[in-house]
Amino acid sequence: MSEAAVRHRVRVWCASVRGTDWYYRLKQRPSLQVVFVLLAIILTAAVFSPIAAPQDPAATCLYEKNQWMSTEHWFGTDYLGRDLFSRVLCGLQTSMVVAVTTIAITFVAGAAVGSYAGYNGGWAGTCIARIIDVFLAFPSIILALALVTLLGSGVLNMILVLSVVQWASFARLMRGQVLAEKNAEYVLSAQAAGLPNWWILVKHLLPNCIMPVVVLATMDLGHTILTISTLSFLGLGLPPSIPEWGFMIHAGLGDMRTAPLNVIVPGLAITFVTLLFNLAGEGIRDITDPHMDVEGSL
Amino acid sequence: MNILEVEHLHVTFPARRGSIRASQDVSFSVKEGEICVLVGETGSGKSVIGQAILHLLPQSAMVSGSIRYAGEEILSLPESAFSRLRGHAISFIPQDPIGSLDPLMRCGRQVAEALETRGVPKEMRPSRVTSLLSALSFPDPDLVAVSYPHELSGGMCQRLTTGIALASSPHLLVADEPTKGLDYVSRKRTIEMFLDLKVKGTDSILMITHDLELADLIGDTAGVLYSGELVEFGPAAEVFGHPLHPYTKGLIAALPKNGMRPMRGVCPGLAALPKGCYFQDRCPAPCTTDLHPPMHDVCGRQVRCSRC
Amino acid sequence: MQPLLSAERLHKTYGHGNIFSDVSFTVNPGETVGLFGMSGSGKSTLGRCLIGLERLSGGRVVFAGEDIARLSASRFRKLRPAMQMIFQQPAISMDPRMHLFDSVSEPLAFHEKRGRPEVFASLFPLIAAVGLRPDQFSCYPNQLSGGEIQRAMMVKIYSLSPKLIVADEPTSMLDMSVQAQILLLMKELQKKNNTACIFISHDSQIMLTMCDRIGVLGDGDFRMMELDEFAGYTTELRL
Repeated sequence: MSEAAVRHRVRVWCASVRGTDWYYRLKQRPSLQVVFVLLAIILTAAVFSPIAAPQDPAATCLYEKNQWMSTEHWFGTDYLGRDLFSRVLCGLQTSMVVAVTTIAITFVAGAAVGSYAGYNGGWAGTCIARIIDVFLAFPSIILALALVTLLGSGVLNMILVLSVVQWASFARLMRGQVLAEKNAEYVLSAQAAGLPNWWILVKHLLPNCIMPVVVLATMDLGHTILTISTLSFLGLGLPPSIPEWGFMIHAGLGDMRTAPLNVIVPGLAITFVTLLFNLAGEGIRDITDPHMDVEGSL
Repeated sequence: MNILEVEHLHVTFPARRGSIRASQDVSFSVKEGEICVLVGETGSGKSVIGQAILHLLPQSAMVSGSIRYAGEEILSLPESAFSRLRGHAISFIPQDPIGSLDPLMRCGRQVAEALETRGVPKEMRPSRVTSLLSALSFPDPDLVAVSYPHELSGGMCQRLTTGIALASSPHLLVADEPTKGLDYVSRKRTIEMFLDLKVKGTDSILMITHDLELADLIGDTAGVLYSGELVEFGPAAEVFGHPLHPYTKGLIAALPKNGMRPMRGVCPGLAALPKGCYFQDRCPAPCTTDLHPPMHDVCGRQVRCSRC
Repeated sequence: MQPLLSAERLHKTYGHGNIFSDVSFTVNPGETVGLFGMSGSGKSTLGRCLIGLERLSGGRVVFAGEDIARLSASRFRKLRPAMQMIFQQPAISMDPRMHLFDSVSEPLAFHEKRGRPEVFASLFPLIAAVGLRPDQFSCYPNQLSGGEIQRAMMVKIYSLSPKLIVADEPTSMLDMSVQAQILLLMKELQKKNNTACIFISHDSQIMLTMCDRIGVLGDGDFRMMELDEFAGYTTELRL
């Protein structure tokens, strides 16, 4: 065989080895496939919810308020007679946009700042660590209130405020992970091989440190939705005209005894979406971890 | 009289593909007052034997055969009845001496705790702790008793865990890899401690180790494990002085002091063992049959090799 | 002959404690120098300082005529492939989330700006020399035994054609028979490539078979010994 042919075969082989492992581990986990399919459905629903909603989520009809489930109103109606199914569906879009964007921003910012602070031990790293501590020590809801008062309400401002409040916990977790991992021998070995610091950080430390942060992100999703609702309740969140799950719960609290669906429907929606993201997060952790391949070793 | 008799011990773990035969047809016995050493490398199934004796195997393990302690069958004993023996008549020195001590408790207190379970009255305990520790040649037992584990060296921690195991005055001591992870000096001191115990000669010890030097120095009888089965068993001086099985020969030749001549190849995995002799791929003079060689007697010891 | 590496009055403190001080010695090309000491004597730290993985508190290391502490970051990175390290714990000396072929071809692929598969193909002779098969490199580190990973480590290191290797107790986690295989392989590769080696260990037997000279670290003191002197020293200590 010629040298070029050998090289070609090796290239094909390397690509096939790299390509199989995520897919291979996902294939072994049918329950995880279900989670990903459900997640895809949820995200599609979030995109198309204003079109897909069977009724106008804002159409009030006081004659039909606080109704139980029926063929006309699948999940019943709220205290103003609005269709709860349509409202939950539209609320999905609002909550997803705000919560997912917030988590995405805090995740990227937290991971970047945290890994930088962890890897560069010097005075810059220490300074950043102290700033993270200050953010964590500050009562988050008060910080959020102050910022909302300053910036005014609205979806964009809400995302901004929540990101400022939450990034520090991500950064702290990431910093701890990097600190624990940066003296591992494979990192030293990469340094000794003359690889630059950014390369080591991106190619070695990040993949080995990021997974707990991914899991934290998926767990924080539900938390974020609830924080939005707290702010909405205090009149500083989104305007009531925009259907949003947290606000729906708070609005329904007054009629909870006579019309429990007002609270149960959005409450279950939050639980379901959070659980789904959480399962997906842990699933991603599992399928990216080579240790999951090992069979019961001795 | 035999204090421990293991006969045809099989331990199998179920795995996703097939099963892992961690221990196959292992038979040996330990006489009263004797030190028996089982030597094996990673993946030879040596710790599984200790765990089987002490009922410490995970639930998923499938065990068959017989283990008798002082004539009584203990393998099939229910957990409630066996816990009467473990830590009392049969004591255990765990791996990782530093990790198996409570880092927040003073060392003397940890030994006293073991005496407490034995029913030694409270006022007697401090003097018993001191005498136990001085018996293990601690130069200053009272100082050790008030120290915390992190203040001691690895070798001293090893001696302390041995002291805790001896506190219940057991009839049988099972030591799992007592020199693993210790630095060179601590290892030497641990060997010296076991030599002391051997000179006193009161305890029956079953020691499981990968450390040939330790095995050679302190063993009365010795067994060599390869891929889950015993390949040679007999008096330690014979086994290490005039090895018969090619694997034992190879192990001894690979020691630095014997010129470090390595065997070729690696141990086969326990999940995919070859047909016939498990050592055939590495044997300098492999036999030609497909038959699995049985253990048979050769001048006063047992060897699993059809050429001996 | 000019020494490959010379350590001049090295000195390291951590917090308030002195780890070692006044360590001076030289290593010639192709020579194996041992560093012997008990656990906690600072021999691993010294090894890391020698190849610039940790900062010294004082003294200087001159490697191939250059003071490594004074080099700029980018020039030091260029010099680094010439000084490599083998670590004690095979389990974590390769990135646990990378296939082995990625790990072993990464440094050369980076320095020569080539694709990893291409680099990997060029490593085949080296892989055969350490007694592994290329298809074993499709594994993750946790799927291989300690001995196999140390062999793969040898591939990674020798792909950079180093002049000096610091081996920090490379076999203390391995079985006896595997230990002999790995040590002989190290010796063989060293001879073939005329590589110098700093061999760190606490096992005096291994030291005597591997090294040409041995430096003993104890209580912050450093002494360079010839082999017979070292043999006498260890018998005296009941080692």
